[in-house]
Amino acid sequence: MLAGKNSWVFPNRPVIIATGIVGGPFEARGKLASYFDKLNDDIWLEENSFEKAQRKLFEQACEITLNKSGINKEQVNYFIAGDLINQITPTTFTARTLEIPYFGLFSACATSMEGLALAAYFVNSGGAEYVLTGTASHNAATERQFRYPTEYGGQKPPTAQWTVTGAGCALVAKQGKGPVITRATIGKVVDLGLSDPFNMGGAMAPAAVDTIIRHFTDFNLSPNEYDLIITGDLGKIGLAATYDLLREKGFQIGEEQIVDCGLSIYGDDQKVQAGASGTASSAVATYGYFLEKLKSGELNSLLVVATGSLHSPLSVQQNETIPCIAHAVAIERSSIT
Amino acid sequence: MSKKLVMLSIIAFVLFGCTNNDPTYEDAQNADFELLKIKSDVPVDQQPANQAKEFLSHYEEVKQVRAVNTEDDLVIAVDINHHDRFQLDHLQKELTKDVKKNFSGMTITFSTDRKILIELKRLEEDLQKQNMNVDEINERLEKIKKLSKEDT
Amino acid sequence: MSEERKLPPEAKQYQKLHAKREIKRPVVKNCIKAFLVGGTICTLGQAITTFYIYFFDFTEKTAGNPTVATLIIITMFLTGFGLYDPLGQFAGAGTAIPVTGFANAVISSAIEHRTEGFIQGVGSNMLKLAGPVIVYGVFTAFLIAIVKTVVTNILGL
Repeated sequence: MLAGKNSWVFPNRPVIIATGIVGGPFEARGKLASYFDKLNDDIWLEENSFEKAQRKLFEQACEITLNKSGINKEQVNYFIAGDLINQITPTTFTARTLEIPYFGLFSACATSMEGLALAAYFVNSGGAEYVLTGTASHNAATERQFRYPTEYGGQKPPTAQWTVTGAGCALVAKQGKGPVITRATIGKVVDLGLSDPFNMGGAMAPAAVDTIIRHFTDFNLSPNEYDLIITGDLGKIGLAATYDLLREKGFQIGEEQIVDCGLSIYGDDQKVQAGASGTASSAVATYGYFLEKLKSGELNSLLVVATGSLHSPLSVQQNETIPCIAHAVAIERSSIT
Repeated sequence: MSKKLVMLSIIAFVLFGCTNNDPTYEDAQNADFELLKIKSDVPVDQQPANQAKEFLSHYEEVKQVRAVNTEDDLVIAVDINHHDRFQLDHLQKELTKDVKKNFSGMTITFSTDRKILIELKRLEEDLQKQNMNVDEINERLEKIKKLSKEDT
Repeated sequence: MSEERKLPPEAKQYQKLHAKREIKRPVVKNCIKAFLVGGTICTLGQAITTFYIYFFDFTEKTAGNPTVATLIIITMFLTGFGLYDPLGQFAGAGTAIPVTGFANAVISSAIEHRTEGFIQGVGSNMLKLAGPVIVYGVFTAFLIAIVKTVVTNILGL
């Protein structure tokens, strides 16, 4: 249901009945290790390419989600997913394995919330009973596509971010136990002229701010409506810039009310420069850690703002600036436990 | 402005390093100069080699000299003082010229290469210790000459 | 400069705000690290050269080639075992400028593209990072040679 200009409200309260989170060896040493359903100790996942490894991560996450929910994959109506690599082929191959009708998405690292918003919309409007949504990323596959070979000894600046090796999936259903999706706001492409692909957090911050402010105006909410606003992968610089920009625009919010997935995943001793990034960053932290907090009652409501920088290696080489996007989804604790 | 100044001084410094100073011949021998004169009881008289050493030891830039000769071949290697090595090419040219002027009767092989220096030192020591015959000396020296002419 | 002027005021304003939050590269610290690590690599190279001069039939002139080959082989192992990129992150230019950096660029690309096969992958991508160095190295050498020829032969300086 349309609310405001660019937002949806979900009166039928679609439920996230199950989630599956998979990680790699580097994530196993991070802060959220205990929230993963499965941690692989081989970065190749016994495959012969990183792209295949990413596909396998995604397949594992989907399988875990379906197993936990007790729903057959034949009962799932649609699979809405995407990733960062070469025309989202790892996701496509996962869809081939799943044999579920499939919508392929590309919103870079905002894919997770774009998928969740669409899944909620489908389920809320009666277009589907069960929708599986999620995303996966692999550090080495992403590095190689967007930056340098993995073993290349170039020095990364302190603004660089570390792509998460992992996958996160959620199964959205009409009814059941679990957190409910209440609102969503779709972002527009924002580009304020930053062009350094080693500083995506800084480039994405205005997109996050734009979406957050439109979300609150569309629903006419006070800044304290949500317990936490969670951004996808802004990292240290992006989060600080977002906070500054929100305050500057007169959005009264405390510094402790906004957290970043990219800063939650890895420990302080892990050298990831400005934080984590990648499509899996928001998916892993939201579906694993933050939903767990909702279930346990520590938190009551969240606004997840996944941010994505939509550049390609080619656009960067041709000196284009980085176009960015952010999608917001509000998730609440359900009264049915 | 200050950047330009820094650049200028760097360029000036580099160019200064490149100026060609001619080697300086002093009347006195260099202090603490290691000069090994080969005894005369070797099959080939080392008089020219000893003279060459004596001659080169007067140059301020030269730290060490090794030389061995056969009937008509004279092979010399010198070690140049560290800070004079900036002008290595120039020094080598000038010193070769000076040596050739003084020993016009012989074929001169002059080198500043460390490898030649080491090999000549080994040969000098062997000459002192063992009874080498003329053929052996010729052979060793031929090998050293070949090494000095090797290019990359 | 002209690029900057074209930006809308909103973007200019944001970039100012963002610049305050951006973490700058620690240039001085990086330079010192690069100097120390790069110097260590060069000292190692000198040690290898001296080794070849003393124990094999190489002169100062000819010992360069086997030294470079040895350093490249060492880099190959370091890259293959995944030790060169953390070193590069620490040392920056210190590991990029010596011949080891060039070797690492070639070897890492070769490893990376192994999955696309030997022809389309390794063969065509091996010089992806090192290619520009070769192209512009040769081109610059050509230009300098022309300048030198003109200065020495024609102007007679």
